[in-house]
Amino acid sequence: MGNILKALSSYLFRHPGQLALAIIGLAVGIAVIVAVDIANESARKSFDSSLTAVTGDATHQIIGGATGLDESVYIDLRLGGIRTIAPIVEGVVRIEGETYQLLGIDIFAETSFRDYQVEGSGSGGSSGAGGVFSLLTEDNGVLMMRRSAARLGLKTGDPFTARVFGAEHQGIVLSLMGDEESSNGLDRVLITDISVAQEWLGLVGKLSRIDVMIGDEDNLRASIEAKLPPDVQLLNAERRNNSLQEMSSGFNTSLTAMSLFALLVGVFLIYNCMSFMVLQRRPIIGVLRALGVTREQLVAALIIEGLVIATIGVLIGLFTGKFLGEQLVSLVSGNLSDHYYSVRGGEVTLAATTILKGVVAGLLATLIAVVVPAIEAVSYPPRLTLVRSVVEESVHNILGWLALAAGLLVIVAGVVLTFTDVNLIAGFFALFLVIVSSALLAPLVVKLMTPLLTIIMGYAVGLPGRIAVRGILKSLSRTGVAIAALTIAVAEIVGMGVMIGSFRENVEDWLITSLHSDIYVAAPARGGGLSLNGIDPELITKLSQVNGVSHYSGARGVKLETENGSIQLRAVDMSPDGGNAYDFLMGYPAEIWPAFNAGEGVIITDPYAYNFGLNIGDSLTLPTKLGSREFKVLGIYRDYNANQGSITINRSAYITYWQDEVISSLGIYLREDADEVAVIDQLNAVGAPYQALIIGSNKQIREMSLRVFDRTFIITNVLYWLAMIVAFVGVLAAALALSLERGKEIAILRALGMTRAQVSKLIVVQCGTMGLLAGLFALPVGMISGWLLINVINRRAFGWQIDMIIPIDTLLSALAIAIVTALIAAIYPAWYATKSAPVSTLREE
Amino acid sequence: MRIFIILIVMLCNVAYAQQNVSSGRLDILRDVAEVGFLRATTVKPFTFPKDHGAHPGYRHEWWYSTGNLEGPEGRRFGYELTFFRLALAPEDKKQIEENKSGWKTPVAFAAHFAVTDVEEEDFHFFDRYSRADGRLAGTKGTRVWLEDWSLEQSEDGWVIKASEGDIKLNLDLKQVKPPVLNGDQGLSRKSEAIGNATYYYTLPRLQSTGSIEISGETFSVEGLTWLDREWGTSALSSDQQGWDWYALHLSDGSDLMFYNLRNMDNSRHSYSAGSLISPTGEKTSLKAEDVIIEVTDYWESPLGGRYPSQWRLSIPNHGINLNIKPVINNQELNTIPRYWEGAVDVIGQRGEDIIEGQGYVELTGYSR
Repeated sequence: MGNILKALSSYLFRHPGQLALAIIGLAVGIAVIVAVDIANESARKSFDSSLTAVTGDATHQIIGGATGLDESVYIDLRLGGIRTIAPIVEGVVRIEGETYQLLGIDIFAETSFRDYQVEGSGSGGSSGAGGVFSLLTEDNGVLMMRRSAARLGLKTGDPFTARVFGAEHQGIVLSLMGDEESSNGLDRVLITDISVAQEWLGLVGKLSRIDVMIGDEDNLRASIEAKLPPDVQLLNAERRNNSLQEMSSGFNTSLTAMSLFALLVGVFLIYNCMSFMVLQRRPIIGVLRALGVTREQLVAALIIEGLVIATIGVLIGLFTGKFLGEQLVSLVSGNLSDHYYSVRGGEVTLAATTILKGVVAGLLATLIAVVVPAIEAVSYPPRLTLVRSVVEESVHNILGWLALAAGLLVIVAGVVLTFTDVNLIAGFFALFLVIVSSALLAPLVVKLMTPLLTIIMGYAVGLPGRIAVRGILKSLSRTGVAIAALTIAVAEIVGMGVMIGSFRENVEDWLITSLHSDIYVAAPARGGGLSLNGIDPELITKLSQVNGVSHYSGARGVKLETENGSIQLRAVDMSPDGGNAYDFLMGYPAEIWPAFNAGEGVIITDPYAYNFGLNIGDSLTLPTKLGSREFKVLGIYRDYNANQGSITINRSAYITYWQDEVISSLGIYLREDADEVAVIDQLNAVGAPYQALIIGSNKQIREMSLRVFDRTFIITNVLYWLAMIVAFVGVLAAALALSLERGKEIAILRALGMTRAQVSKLIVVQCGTMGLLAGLFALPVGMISGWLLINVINRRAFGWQIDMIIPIDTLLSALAIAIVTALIAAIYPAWYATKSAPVSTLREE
Repeated sequence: MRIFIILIVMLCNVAYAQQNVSSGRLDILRDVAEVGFLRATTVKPFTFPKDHGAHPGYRHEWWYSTGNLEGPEGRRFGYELTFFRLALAPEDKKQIEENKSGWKTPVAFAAHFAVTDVEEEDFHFFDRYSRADGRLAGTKGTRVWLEDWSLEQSEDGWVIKASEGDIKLNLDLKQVKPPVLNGDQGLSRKSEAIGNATYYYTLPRLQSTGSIEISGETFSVEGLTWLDREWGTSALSSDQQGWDWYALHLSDGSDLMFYNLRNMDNSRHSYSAGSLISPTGEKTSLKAEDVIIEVTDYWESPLGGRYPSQWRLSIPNHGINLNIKPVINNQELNTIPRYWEGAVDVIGQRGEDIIEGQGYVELTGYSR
């Protein structure tokens, strides 16, 4: 066996470039798989841990109604002898531009709920509460994770400035918790006394929630429930966390889609590089067979060799992937903190599952890539093995079978989609099947397209063109795989481009429709997203008297908490033309508005309707101040706000049911002759003595929304390029293989009088044609993926209904990227092919 | 002398843990800044009911009730309900500003509740802590509470309410003797240092009626309660390691209180003192040398430490000779810190007369 391996590997050592390419290809493939997985996993994990860090061991949570949770609820429970409860006031603050979750606690209620590890608390006996008592004596003191403090350059006793909605608060670091490495989820969490949190977050008198620990005693649950006001609910913490999690997993959807593409492209690359190494040595294999080496011995030797190479590649890939992942995570973290929760950036955990995924993908792809051609290579009589065309013949023979398999996969995908309604994983599975089937079809597509391309290229570049195109078909066993890899990479660009482009266009239209007023004025929502007191009624009158203001409509936005997550409820005073702001997907405005204005029901967003399977005429139950009440669905309108969608109700009906007359935002309509900038200045001047207001013009809000939208998808750009790098290496490997392998052919061409330039041209054209083929095939595949992303993945994850728009520029640039990538990949092989003198090449043979 | 000191130690221990890790409790106590607090330095007139209420400005204050109760068929119970008011930092005298959180206060409350069930030989104890925000815990006039545990003055006495799990206590207390001002007209000095003292008065004999509920079974009870009130800023001196406190209701209608401050070598500190209260409420002060106490038995705590568990107490000047014995041995509160506080039986002589009684003893500084 040793001798066989030696014989086989001697070739590789004579061609170190090839060996290096195989290892690089493998490593890049693994790296991309690992990096995307790390990014995904980190995002999920920091969400999980920030969730447990803030919910602790609570089994249940008490959640307030529309106007928040009055702290009196907690006090009454305590005075009523309920003791396994802890009040929480939480919200987001910013320190030096970083987002931190401020967690206000009552330390006396806490010890049984959370485990705070504070320095110097080691001697504290069983109390475990540690230095947290200083929270009571030090004004504005906070406990900070050691790692956060290190990042901010703070130590115990240092002051810092925390920003909450424009207001600044001076805090002091009382103590540090945890150690540098610990990642118990409390990083980016500041712990402070409940009084400080209330004051900073503007939640004096309110709690974000009450954590409850209920054992097996059901009577405790009942006795708590009996003591709660009608609009306050006791919810199962686990169920609530799960629904919060689902909400954010929606965000991770695009990442998951990316990792799927990355996995496929990576596997293809590995397959390509490894199978190539076997094919390359068919002559040696033939010689060895002729010398009497058995088939089994040869296959075993090839597998061992492949696995050794794969191991090196996988190791390099894991490390590179970790580094890449770190870069991705910092991109993701900025993004997620914008939207949902604080994520720590920069640090990375290489989870066992991630490593496993990389290793399995690497070794499995290698195994298949080696075994299939190896078995095939040894299955012929030694003499035939020496002949290259045999392989290609067999490839051509199975094209039909591949197409059949592709067709079957598409059918399975269709069945999966038909029989699953909202399951996101099933959606991904279907997408995966479609992409795999397109890869299987790639060689057939190449075969079908070559006659046409031969003619076109013949016209375009003459003889080298024709030879080049035929060459692609002749070496389908490797060009097919390279083209498939490039196709998937480009299809990813097309698919994501179609999805994001359509999405953005839809959002832009929607913003134009729904932002109907000229100027928006809002009271900052603090803490749990609730604007407690809204805008001072006296101030509203004054604002409406500002010169240039025609009229206004008031609205109140609140969050209702349920076990199925939170519901955004908007109560609006409909202005005469305000109705145009709603683009109804279901229901007729002429019927909806009279009923809505009479308070006969609510209108809901499309995602809400989708998520809860609601239709016009159905009823939904909302927790009101008067207890649970049913509301009829009058209409369903388009909406792209994040999360699970929202409900809009007439404000007078809202006041009846929730007994809350607060107005938290105003839509101001200007007189025709008004100067918008002057009015905004005036509004700011009028508002300043009263309270902090957020005032923005229609245009500013629209631009801001789109900026947030664009930032959300920054990471996709990065992944484009990652996919392209993988595809690039794939094409490079294929092109190099072709030129190496056809050294003899090229030498003959050269001997027949072809110039070096012509040979280079031949190779460049060949690669370019491969790029063109992949690009062309990627367009329909990409559009189908885009359709699936829009109508299956996005719909299932968010409930958003997006009209598909095909952005021509995306398609054209995808095509261009495919060709350019292939051309760049051709540079080295083209140079290499011309380097050798034809005579020596021929003599070698 | 009450267990408050240990509580302060506990709170300060954690608050000042950065500086003090291995030093003893009393050292830590000395480190606590006393700046900004009022101190008990001079004799002050007491006015009631005002002085039944809280005394903000001092670092600590407590309401300490213990009592022996008898249920149907002579079933014996003992109880302890105590409230500690502990200022972790001087209270801000500022007016409550607008938009200030109602949770803001540097004052904490702790409370201990214990019931001794002699027949079942059970000892139930609970502790609670809270900020004194005036809602969860605090004082209002002569009412003091921590969540649903409370002690409050009624028309002709006091009302006690406490419950935790399946243990409930409700008592009406009737005052039969006027308040007794301990020490020098209520100024109770604990060492030579000026200001190392508290204001200390006692309602020694409160006739108690009400109910105890244990595991769903309710017993009507009656008996006698001892209520101590004490406030101040400083506490033990460095050479004191703990104290034994005795509060006894005697069958001749007189009441006896004595606290034995123990030096590091376990000898009696010269500022140990007490009060002997006649059936009509007249107080005779007892000095350290007036009272002889001999420990006649010990009890090993299963949690560690050896407590005295039987005493012979004599006051030769008054012809008093008493044997004191716990109703059950294990009346140790495994709280932080750990201490022993339990119901005791008394039998002995006063002159020629046989005398009986019941009472409470508190032992601190023994747990190991």
